[in-house]
Amino acid sequence: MTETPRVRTLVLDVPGWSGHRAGQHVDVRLTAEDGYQAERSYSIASAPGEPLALTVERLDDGEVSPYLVAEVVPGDRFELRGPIGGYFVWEPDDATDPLFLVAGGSGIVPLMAMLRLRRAAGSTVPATLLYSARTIDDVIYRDELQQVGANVVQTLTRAQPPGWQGYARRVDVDLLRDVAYPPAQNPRVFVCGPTSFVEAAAEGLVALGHRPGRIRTERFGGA
Amino acid sequence: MTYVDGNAIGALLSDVFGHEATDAAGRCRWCGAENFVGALRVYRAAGVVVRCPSCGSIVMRFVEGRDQVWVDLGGLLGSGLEPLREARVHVVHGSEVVDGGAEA
Amino acid sequence: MYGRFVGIVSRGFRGRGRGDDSGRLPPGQYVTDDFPVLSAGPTPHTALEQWSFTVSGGSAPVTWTWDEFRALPSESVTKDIHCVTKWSKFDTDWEGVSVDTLLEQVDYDAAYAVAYSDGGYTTNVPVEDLTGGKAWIAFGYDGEPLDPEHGGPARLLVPHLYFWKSAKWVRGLRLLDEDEPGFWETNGYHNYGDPWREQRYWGD
Repeated sequence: MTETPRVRTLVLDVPGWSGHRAGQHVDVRLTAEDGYQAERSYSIASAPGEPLALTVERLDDGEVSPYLVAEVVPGDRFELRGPIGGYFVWEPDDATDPLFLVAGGSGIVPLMAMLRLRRAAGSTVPATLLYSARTIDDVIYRDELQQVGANVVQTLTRAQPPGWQGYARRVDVDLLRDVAYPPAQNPRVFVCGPTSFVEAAAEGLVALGHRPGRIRTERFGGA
Repeated sequence: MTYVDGNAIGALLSDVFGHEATDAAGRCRWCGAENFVGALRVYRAAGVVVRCPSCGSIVMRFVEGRDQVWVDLGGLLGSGLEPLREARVHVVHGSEVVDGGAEA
Repeated sequence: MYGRFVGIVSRGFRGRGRGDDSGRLPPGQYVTDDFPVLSAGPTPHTALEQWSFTVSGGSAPVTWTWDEFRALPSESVTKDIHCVTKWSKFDTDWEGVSVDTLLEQVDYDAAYAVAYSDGGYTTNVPVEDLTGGKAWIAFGYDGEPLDPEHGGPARLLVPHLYFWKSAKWVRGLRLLDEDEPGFWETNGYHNYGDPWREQRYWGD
């Protein structure tokens, strides 16, 4: 399924898959005919209980993502390990602390799994997603975000369509002050995106008085 | 290339410890800070180097061989180089300390 | 269950690495045109005024400032490099001072050396692998000053051994009578690291 010109969701049939938690990732290994191997991590987009889905962004200088986005057809096989990452996980529980999710680019993927789980589980925990993308065409899950049952705040950093109502700048302290739950509400915070994005968001939140121990981050590596 | 979060080495940790351990906590031998493994900083060089986010010191090193993993946990307080079983590593299960364990 | 990889071939996947049958590619390696950046820690940014290079372990330590180091005769060399993570890169162009040139100014009688770097990295190399035109302290790459992410201002270049021996951000050599395994050699990687004999790990 094509999400944007650069992003595709792959739904996988994994025999023996034991299930996953929202926010986790898998390691994908591709092996070429000559034995050359490349391995990368991809976040799981689906909520627990749904078929395993990975949403992959094609990186221009990548070697695995262009294959997964452009080459793979139904029936192809590749290897994966997982689910991995019990640290960057949200599950509905008795806590009523609000959930604040901050996504940069394809960092939306594991956070979408959390929002899909929250919706499916009927959780009433307040949730806000702050989602930074370059342009409106880069917004992944654009339609579903309207119906996901959370407060969705978007910022488009590079170009904005006519009549754009959202933010139009990079995530910084001032933007976070506007959007985040105040520290007094003790929100649980998950931040995912490119390294520089995660650094800026996490530092901004700490500067606003959020406790570092409440902020969980997942940085992308390189290509 | 810069670092990624400790979450990224869950599969490696599962090879070594039998579970992925990213929601366990470890205490840095050099500065004493306790952090979740998922909040540590992972650098990929010839092998994997895991650093304390509080002081930058090395807390773990891994080299993945053909069918074995070499492990140095010398930067974790309360652990040695071996054996590699979970019970000998200084870990606290995250579910009990989610709010208090990762003050960086 | 996390499962284990077993190596199922992925239809149509080629990747960035490629084979080579010209005899220049050591066993188990793949050719890349990139220059991957691997780093065990944050990139140090040592100002050139603060930089020096020291050879110790001889009759007296010898230290060069950056200006003194750059005033030494340097060489341009073109070498194939081989990383233990399986990429090789052909025909890389370096400029550097031969380790022979440095050791000419040192009175020593040692068989082993440990290179040490800003950031704490170390690696051990026999002296005979650093001399005889086999190793350089490189400060230039591809006609430009060596980029910090690739080890600038200067890195050791020992291209006939796996590239972890070519320590980035190098600041000196300690000459030793006894071998002293370095950062990776103490934790699984081979003590010598000859790519042609595929000496990747302990026991190879």
